[in-house]
Amino acid sequence: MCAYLFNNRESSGRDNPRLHGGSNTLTLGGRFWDLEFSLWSNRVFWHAEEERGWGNCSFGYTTINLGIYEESLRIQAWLSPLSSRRRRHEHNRYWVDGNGDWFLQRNEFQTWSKSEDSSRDPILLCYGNQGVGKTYIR
Amino acid sequence: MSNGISHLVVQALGKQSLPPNVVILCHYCNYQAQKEQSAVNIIGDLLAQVGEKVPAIESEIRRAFNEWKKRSDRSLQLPDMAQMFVDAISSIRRAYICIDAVDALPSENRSELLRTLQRIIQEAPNARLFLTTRPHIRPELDQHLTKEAYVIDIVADQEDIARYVTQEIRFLKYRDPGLVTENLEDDIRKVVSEEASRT
Repeated sequence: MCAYLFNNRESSGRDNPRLHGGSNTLTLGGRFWDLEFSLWSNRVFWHAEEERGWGNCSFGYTTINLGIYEESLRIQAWLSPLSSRRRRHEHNRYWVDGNGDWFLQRNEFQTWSKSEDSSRDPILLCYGNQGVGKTYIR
Repeated sequence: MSNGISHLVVQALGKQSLPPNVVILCHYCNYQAQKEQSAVNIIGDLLAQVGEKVPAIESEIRRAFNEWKKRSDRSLQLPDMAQMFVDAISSIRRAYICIDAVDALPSENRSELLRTLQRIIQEAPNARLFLTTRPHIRPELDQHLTKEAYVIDIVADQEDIARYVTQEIRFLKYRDPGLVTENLEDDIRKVVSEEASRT
């Protein structure tokens, strides 16, 4: 079973990626190859890298073998064009031991994360200006 | 580049407990692709993660998908998505929902997301919510998330930064042994630390 990825970079646009054309055609509108902007494709690429379940996966007009992942991809596309998967992997690459330990020792964090009384205070909010290290330190 | 607080929290929760009893779900918002970062898509991403972690829920999602396709060719709308999410996590002992940089969302998407999270917390008492944001949207959070919340204000931590700089310098030395002299190393530390205390 094959899927044709339509590289539509020139005409750009931010069309939502769609799966259509019967059971074996995958058409992605918009910037499929532009990794920074096409969030949906992140999920596809991570599948390719992690699962090694793909046939030929190269840049340009490409035919890939969806195989057993076809239904999962359709379901993922149905749920969301977004994927935090690539970001989760990135974070693991840039780990510095000991960073943020002060935060984990704070009472607020300890109580919030460990309390077994699920009806009480289920929310932990962290406020910080740009650049203090909420998402990255760099 | 080094991990920030939000990823640290995700890691720390992961060490405490594991699926299928506890799942940790995270979403990182950003300033790109604003249109796609709607409440329905963010909840969908979280739901996809529940499915990845708990096989029983994955088959439940698969079943719902096949039924939906029989009935409709519309895309999923927010009320349905939120209901599916609540149903999915209700069978788990605890679900931690971590959302980084809520302030990066366009404001209409943000209030829709906050209202939905409020609903999820009310309907699924086993959900715990962790949000990071810049402080200027604090009134919005107070308005939408009416449950009591713990609050931690984050300031740049000098020791974290020092550790990060040490690692980067070690990397530079490894790449180019003659590059970083002792004087340069001291200068880098001084400048970075001064910059950091200004934020």
